[in-house]
Amino acid sequence: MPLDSSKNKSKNKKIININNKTKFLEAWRAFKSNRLALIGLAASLALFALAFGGSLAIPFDNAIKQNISQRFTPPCLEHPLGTDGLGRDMLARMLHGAKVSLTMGFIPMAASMLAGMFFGGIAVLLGGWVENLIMRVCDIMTCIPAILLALAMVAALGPGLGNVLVAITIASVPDLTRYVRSVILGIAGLEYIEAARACGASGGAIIVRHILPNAMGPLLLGAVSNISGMIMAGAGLSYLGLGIQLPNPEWGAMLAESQSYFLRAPYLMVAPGIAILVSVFAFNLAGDGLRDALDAKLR
Amino acid sequence: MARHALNRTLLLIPSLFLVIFLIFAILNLIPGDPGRMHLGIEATQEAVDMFNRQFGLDKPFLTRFTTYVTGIATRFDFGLSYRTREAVMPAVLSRVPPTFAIALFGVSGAVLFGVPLGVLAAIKRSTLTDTNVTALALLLSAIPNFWLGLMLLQLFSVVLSILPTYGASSWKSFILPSVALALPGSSGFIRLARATMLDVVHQEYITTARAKGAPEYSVIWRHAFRNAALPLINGAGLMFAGLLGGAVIIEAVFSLPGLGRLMVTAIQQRDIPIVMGCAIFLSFVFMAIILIIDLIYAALDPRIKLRYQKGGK
Repeated sequence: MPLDSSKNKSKNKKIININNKTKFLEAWRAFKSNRLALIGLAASLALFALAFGGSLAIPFDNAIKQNISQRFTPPCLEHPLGTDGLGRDMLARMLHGAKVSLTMGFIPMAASMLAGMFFGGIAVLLGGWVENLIMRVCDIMTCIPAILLALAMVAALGPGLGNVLVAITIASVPDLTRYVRSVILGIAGLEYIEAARACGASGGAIIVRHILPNAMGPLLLGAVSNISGMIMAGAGLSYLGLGIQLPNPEWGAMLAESQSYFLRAPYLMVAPGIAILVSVFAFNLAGDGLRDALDAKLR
Repeated sequence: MARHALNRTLLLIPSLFLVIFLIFAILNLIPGDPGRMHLGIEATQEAVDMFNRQFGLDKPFLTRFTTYVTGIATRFDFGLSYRTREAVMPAVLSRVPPTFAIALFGVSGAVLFGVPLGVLAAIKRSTLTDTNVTALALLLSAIPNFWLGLMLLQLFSVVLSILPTYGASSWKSFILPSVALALPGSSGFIRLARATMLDVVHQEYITTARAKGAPEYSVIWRHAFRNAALPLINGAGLMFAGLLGGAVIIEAVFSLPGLGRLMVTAIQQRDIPIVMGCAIFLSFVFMAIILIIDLIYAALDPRIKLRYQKGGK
């Protein structure tokens, strides 16, 4: 309710002088009191530390060096996750694969969010036929299921890691454009924007000084809640052999490889799957926590 | 109401035209020679030229698009496959049944598993049951369905060897793929059923039903659930539509000869007409399902129906 929130804000104003820092502090306080959300955040950060720290500690060579005499070594001290069908150390492959898998969540997320902010922002700012055109293009693009749109892009560009990143990004731009537009329109309808306009603020100043800072929370939420879906999509496309090309490690691709040895070395398919599960779980927890924290702030 | 349905259905035609244009543009505006891309770098220039002439690829973009759309509109002709030189649409349609089957079973399983759990969580709000069900939903939503498929294969086909590992030879082949789709998919229904039930149980007519002495199961299932069911129908429709296109990966895990496999193979072989045929067909089904959901909504929800009757006539 706009009425409620504005009442709430004026009440808060008496106690503390609201600026963006305290707003984020407020949301952070709500986030901090949510144990699951904290676990999610900690796990997400740990995943990054593992992916980037671990791949610094273990040279990339270990992940692609073949050692046929040691193929299918079950998990042991020297190879904690065993070795695969070409004798490559699974732990090294997991850690170097983590970098790629997490990248497939983050780069499309950032890129499509920026594109969504650009198109959504332009749609609201210019209005008229530009807005109409942008929104109708989004409508048409969402008539095609996202994974299908991504597949069509990969078909056009050809398989490969970079092309999969482009495909996942473009496939999610229409949804994010709509989301950004609705966020901005929601804020633009609030009373303090009207007040700013009444005080004679220019359109640009209203967007930069008033709408953008207030849109940060919802936009961050839109971005975070998309990461896990993108990690999953990226892993799926790599599983199909359309993403990263051999011999580079990536969780989805490793699952595909493990399938050819699923009689001989079933343990190979455990680690990559659990890694995807844990990352998606962690980002989901963090995203849900963020949504609750922002909700609590609005209420 | 009928007029509204007709209007919405007719609107599908221009949308479909634009979708075809978009897909055609994505797949045909790639820089580079299509014949060269399909035949590879070893092919002679004459072979490439002949290939391009044969498939009309030497003509300008708009001419090709017009030919393509005219073919679809007049003869339901989606062109020829680059590889087999056979018509695209019969090949696409022959792959529909397995995909359709696992999508249907997957959605049904997700609804049958998820909805009762969600309703249970809503009834027992803020108890241990609620917490456990919500946690289960969170966990299920994080399981990659293709990994679940691999693990199920390992358990039921290798260790227990009671179900086939690949192919679509008997109904047994469809059990594991459907379960692999249903379990992760059910998390959405758990959350949705819980949320909509929680919305509904605070409505006044529920209090009324209780006050007039209706037994609890009747309050829950006849009064509350009926009113919470609409968003669930929507969710089921969307999941089904999504699975038709998104079951690609599961089809690869279980080597099911479905639409997704056809499409992925075509992508690897750069057989663009097949990719276009699959994408257009699936998008059409997707749009049709969304239209049907809309109409079901209008038919079932008196509030929406009223709005159309007011506005429509």
